[in-house]
Amino acid sequence: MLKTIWLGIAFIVLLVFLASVAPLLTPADPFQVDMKERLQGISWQHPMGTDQLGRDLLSRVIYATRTSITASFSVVLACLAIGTVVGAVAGYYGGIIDELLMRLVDVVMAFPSFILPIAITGILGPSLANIILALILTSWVGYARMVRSSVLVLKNLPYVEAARAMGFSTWEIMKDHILPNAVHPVIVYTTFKAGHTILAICGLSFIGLGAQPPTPEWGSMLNEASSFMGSVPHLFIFPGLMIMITVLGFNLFGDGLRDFMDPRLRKEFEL
Amino acid sequence: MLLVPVLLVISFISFSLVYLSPGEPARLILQRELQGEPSQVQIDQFNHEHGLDKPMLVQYTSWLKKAAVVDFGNSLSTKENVSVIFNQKFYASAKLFIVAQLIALAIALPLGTLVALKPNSRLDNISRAVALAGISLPSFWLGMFLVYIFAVKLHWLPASGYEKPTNIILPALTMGITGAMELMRLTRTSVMEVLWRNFVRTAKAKGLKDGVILTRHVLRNALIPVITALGLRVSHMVGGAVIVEMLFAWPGLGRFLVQAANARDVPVIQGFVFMSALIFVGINLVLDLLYVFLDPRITYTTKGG
Repeated sequence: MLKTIWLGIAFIVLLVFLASVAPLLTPADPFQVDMKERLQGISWQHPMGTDQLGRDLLSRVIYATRTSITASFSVVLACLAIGTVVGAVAGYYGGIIDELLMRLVDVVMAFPSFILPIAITGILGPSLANIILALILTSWVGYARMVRSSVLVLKNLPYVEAARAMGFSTWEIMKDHILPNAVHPVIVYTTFKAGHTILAICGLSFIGLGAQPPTPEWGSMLNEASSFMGSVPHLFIFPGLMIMITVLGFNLFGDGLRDFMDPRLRKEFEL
Repeated sequence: MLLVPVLLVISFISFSLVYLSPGEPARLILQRELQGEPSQVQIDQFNHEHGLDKPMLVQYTSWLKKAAVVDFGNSLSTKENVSVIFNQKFYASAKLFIVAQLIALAIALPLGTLVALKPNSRLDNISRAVALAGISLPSFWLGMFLVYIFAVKLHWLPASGYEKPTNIILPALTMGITGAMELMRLTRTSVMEVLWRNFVRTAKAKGLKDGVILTRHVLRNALIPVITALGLRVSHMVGGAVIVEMLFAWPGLGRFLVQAANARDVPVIQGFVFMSALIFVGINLVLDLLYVFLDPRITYTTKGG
């Protein structure tokens, strides 16, 4: 199982590296339009060819790593923060607070996937920022549920009671005693979530709701490529391949991590 | 009983979504209709006609009263009744969903069962790798590949549309193949779990044929998680399918919602969001009842958290 973890880590490190040093690696400016060079095939000068505006595809694909990784990480980190606070508060205090917060979670979960993000971005106007906002608004609930159920169990354990008896504040008990023990499933969930979020952002950009041209983004690049599918198939092959490799990296990492951390977790996150 | 307040909040969210809009919906809609900037008089008149000048809560209560009898008004762009459009689009989406899930099951059940009978064999490892790659595969990319091969190169199938019976093949295959990956692994785990149960050993000891044990005893018990997964997917029928529907110009719910959201077609957005949430909640309820049928040990007489 360690093999999959390392393979996943290798993928992710490579992509984060690509994203952070993109300007040093790219052979050309990803925004440079050159109509004389449009729709070129694969060559030494353009290893992935050029797109419909003559821009170097390899450079755009590398820059798009940046777009996807930052967008996905922002969504996941924001959801992690909101979900952990809501879940911890609901689980620890219980009673009416728990009831209210969990009903809110129920309401958000009652909407089928993608319906709210589509409606929200449609109304706010299509853009990458609005997609990020819409995905945060709708996907923190998974974390809230997960953290709450862990806290519910942990808060009644003798060692937490002992900490309470010793006079630690609620904040200290939460920070030092409860949350560190609730973190394992959250880490695994986050890994899968990062991959899913990339798929979601690319998908929504593909249908025109997310990143807008000329921003290099895999989903919107695929959308632009669909008009030239017959003549220049490499335009849709490379961006899609990058999405798949990226998501696969996160899935491999999550899959290995799950097995490594706790074999009992397997059931909760089974493929 | 808790369902009622949740449904009320859902209806309120569905209704009030349009108030997120940065510009007035009336201005945006009139801009499109008149092909130019509308005057303030025209905007006021439009708002008055559609009741948009009343306070929000008044609008909400009158909307809710009508929503209770499934009347969401008319689409601002096509002028048709929203419920009528919803029905048509729902039919198209459901058709695609059902065909796609049948394809997924046809792939997943036999393969999942097969690898469960030989765990950790080479076939099992291959299927695990394929499933991992498969869930990482963007459905629209797979769809583009299928279009490229079967429509652009081979000219066997139409790339998009709805009218011809062959139109459904490519979108259904796209959804079916991506959907099969998860189901295949799920079938494998649940079959493996059931295989070691005592009742399977008993059935073997009784001298039942392997085929009978597999279908009557193993699969029936192993199907519960698979059905849960399929049920959860019904939510994808409206949401997750949207990308495939857009790619293949399939006139389903998701595609229409995207068009309505882009056009700020207020009644359609409200009606579609509310109806799809309602259907999702209803389907979850039906699923809970279905478990009782599949596994008579489950009862809902005692209330659980």
